Amino acid sequence: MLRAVEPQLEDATTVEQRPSKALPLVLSRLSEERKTRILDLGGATGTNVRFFSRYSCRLHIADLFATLVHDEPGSLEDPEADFTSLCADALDLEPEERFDLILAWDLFDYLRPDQIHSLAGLLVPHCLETTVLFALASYHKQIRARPGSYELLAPDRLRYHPTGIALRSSPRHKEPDLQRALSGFVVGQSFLLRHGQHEYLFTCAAAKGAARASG
Amino acid sequence: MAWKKPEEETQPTPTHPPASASPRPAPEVSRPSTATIGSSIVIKGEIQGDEDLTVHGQVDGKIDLKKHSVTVGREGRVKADIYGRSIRIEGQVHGNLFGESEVVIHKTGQVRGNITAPSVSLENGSKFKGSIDMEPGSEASGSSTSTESKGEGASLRSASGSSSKPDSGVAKNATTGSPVASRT
Repeated sequence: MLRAVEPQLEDATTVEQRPSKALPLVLSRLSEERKTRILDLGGATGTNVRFFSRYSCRLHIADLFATLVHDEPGSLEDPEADFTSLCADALDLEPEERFDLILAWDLFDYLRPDQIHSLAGLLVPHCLETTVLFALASYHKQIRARPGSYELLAPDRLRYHPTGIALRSSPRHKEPDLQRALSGFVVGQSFLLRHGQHEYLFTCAAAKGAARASG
Repeated sequence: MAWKKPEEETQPTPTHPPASASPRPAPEVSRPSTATIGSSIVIKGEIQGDEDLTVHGQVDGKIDLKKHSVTVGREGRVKADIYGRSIRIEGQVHGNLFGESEVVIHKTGQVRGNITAPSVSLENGSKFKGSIDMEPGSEASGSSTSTESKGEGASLRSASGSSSKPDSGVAKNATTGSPVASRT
C-alpha cells in the first residue's frame, strides 16, 4: 500500500534545490577514461555542461519539448499529429548513435501515454543493454504548465528552475502506467521523494533481448 | 562583399611639446585587427583570413579562422561551420563549432549543431541543441569546467562500480527517498 502525504507545491517562481536518490547510482559510472554517451532530452544548461565536462563524455542535448513547441506549435496537443515523425525530427539522432544514459527529467509529465510510447519506440534503437533512462514523475495535483530545467549541482542534488508561473493539472503517471507506455524499458529502481516526485531508473529490456538474440 | 574595419586608432596628440627636440618614432605595437561584417551584409561562401572576425550580418557557408577569434554578434545569423581559436556566440548559428581553445554561447546565443572544443561555456538563457564532446584533460587549460564542485567530482571518480544493478530487470528497489511516504 502506498501512503503518501500530498506535498505543497512551492511558489511557482521559486528556484528549488531537490535531492536525488537515483542519479548518484548512474552518475557514479562516469569516468575520465571511458567515454560515456549521454542523451539529455531536456534543455541545455551551463551547469550541466560544466558537470559533465569533468568526465569523458559526449553529451547530446535534444531539448525535445522546446523543439517540438518551437518547430511544430500545437503538435503536442493535436491528437491527429504524427507525433512519432515530429519527435524523430526533433531528436535528430544519427541511426548508429548509442547512448549509455538518457536523461528524460520530467518530460513524461508533459506527454500523453501514447506519446511516451512513440518516444520509447524512437529511443530503443539507440540503447544498449546497459543503457539507463532517468525520469521524474510528479505526484502533485498540479505542475508547471511547461517543463522547467534541472541543473546538476552534485550527483545527489538538483536545482530546478520553473519555466513561467502558469500551472496545469498533473497526469500523475503511476509506475504501471509508465511501464506500459515506455515500451521496451523496464523499471530498474524507483524512489519516492518528499518534494512530490517519483524518480525512476529504467533499463532497456528490448536492447537486452536483442543482444541475447544476436549473441 | 563589404568588409567594415574599425577605424584605425590614432595616436593621442600630446598637449605639450616633447621634452626632447629630436622626435623618436613611436614603438610599434602589434594588435590583432578585427574584421567586422555589418548587419546588412550577406555573405555566401567560405571566409578565410588572418584576423579576428565579428559577424553582425549573415553568413552562409564556412568560416575558417582557426588561429583567430570569431564572434557572432546579437544580430548575426550564421548557417555555417565555424573554425576559430575562440568562438563567441551572441546571435544565431546553425552549424558545427570547432574551437581550438574555447566556445562560449552567451545568454542571447542560439546554436544548433555540434561543438568540439577543450572548453565550452553556456550562459544561462542561451539555447543549444546538439552534441558536445568532452574530455576532462582540457580542464586544466583554464576552461569553464573548473567550478566549485570539483571535490564532488573527485569523490565521484573514486566511486567504482554501480549499485543500480541494471541486470536486476523488473526487480524493483522502491527505496523511500524520505520519511514522508512509504510502501508497506
